[in-house]
Amino acid sequence: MGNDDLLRPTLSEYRQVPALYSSTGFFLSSFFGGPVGAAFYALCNSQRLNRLWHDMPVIIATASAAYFVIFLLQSNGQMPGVAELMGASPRRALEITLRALALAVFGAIYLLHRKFFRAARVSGTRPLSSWVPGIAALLLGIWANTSFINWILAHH
Amino acid sequence: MNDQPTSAAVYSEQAFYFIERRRLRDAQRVLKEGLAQYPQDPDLLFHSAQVEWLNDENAAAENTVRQVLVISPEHVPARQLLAAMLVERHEYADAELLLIGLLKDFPERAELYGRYSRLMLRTLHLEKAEQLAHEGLRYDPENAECLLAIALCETARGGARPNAALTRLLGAHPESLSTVHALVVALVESGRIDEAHRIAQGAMRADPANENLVALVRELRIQNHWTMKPLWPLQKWGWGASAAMWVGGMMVSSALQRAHSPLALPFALLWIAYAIYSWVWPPLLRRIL
Repeated sequence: MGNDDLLRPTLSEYRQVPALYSSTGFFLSSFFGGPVGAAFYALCNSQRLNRLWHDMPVIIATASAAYFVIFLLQSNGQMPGVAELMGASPRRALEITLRALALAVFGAIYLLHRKFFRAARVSGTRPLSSWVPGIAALLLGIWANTSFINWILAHH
Repeated sequence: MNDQPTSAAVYSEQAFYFIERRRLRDAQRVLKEGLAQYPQDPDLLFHSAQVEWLNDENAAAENTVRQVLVISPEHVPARQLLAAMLVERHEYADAELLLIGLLKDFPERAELYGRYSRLMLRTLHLEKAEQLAHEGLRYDPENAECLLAIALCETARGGARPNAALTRLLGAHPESLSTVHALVVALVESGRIDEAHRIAQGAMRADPANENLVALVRELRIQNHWTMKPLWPLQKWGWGASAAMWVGGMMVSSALQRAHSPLALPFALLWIAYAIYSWVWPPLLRRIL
């Protein structure tokens, strides 16, 4: 980047200056809202970072992979074994596995946005209020997880 | 002998002397006297704005600094102060335009690149922040603003990894507040709260009037309180530790239940109590201390 490029305004190009919703909200959305909750919250962050179209394929693929793993475990008949190992009912075992995978999705997406989270911390930027994306992620995630578990238990 | 200042420049010098030492009342007294005689002097008005800014009278400070820019549109310190005010008010786009204007007028002033770099970092443009700070270092390889900006960028990128810019900053400006700031941020990011707390405390003793330092020491004191020690894995590894503890706790709990161990219930209770403690205690402690 030449000096002229360096001195070209960056911030006036945006409708909203880049910022992030809090990482606490992200963790809670992932923990209670599952992979869909994590993905939705991460997409809200990507939108605020003006990277929505850049990040969307990775975020959607990561969240889909979590559901696909459960689908494979159930289709291959391994889920009852997992449930036995946990000492839990099939539904409960599915819920716990989905939550563990949601935390993996959280970790993967956090890595994608880590430099932004860290840049916000080191520069002392306050995160945006997470209530709206957090509650939306939670509701969407709970609905998606319940539907998925009902579907998988009924058809596999 | 009459020791009253005889020109606006002398009043200005005296005011600057007091502002540097945070003797704001003395600065105000001198400025009042000076402005009574030279009400349109841009330097006296600028120092007035500085004093108001340091006294958290932000609206008054902005009015005064704009007054300076009406009288003297090219006044460099006033333009820099206005940029800082706009950043504080989150009017980042306007602050950027002011800094770019300054850089076009003074393209070899390294500290301006450093300030613009910090603005870019604050608005999460890490690459541009790094490029600006490197550009500034071309003009002054030891400039504290640029070294601070690069040290913060490196901390943002690498977390606890070795930070070459921070090492340079420590070597070039060991006494500077910027160095303390960068060092504390790097230590906090790598979970070394105790060391960060000690360094920030040392800096606060040297500059007790600095409100940012006082707030930083207070936050670190909370983080470093003995009741927070059980939470050190969460402080050091953040959300990764929370996720690992949940997965680990579930696995141990299932194993104990399957083995019909008498420890299953105490373990589950302890685990839940720890989770509640980690959520409830830090905000409570923040209110108490």
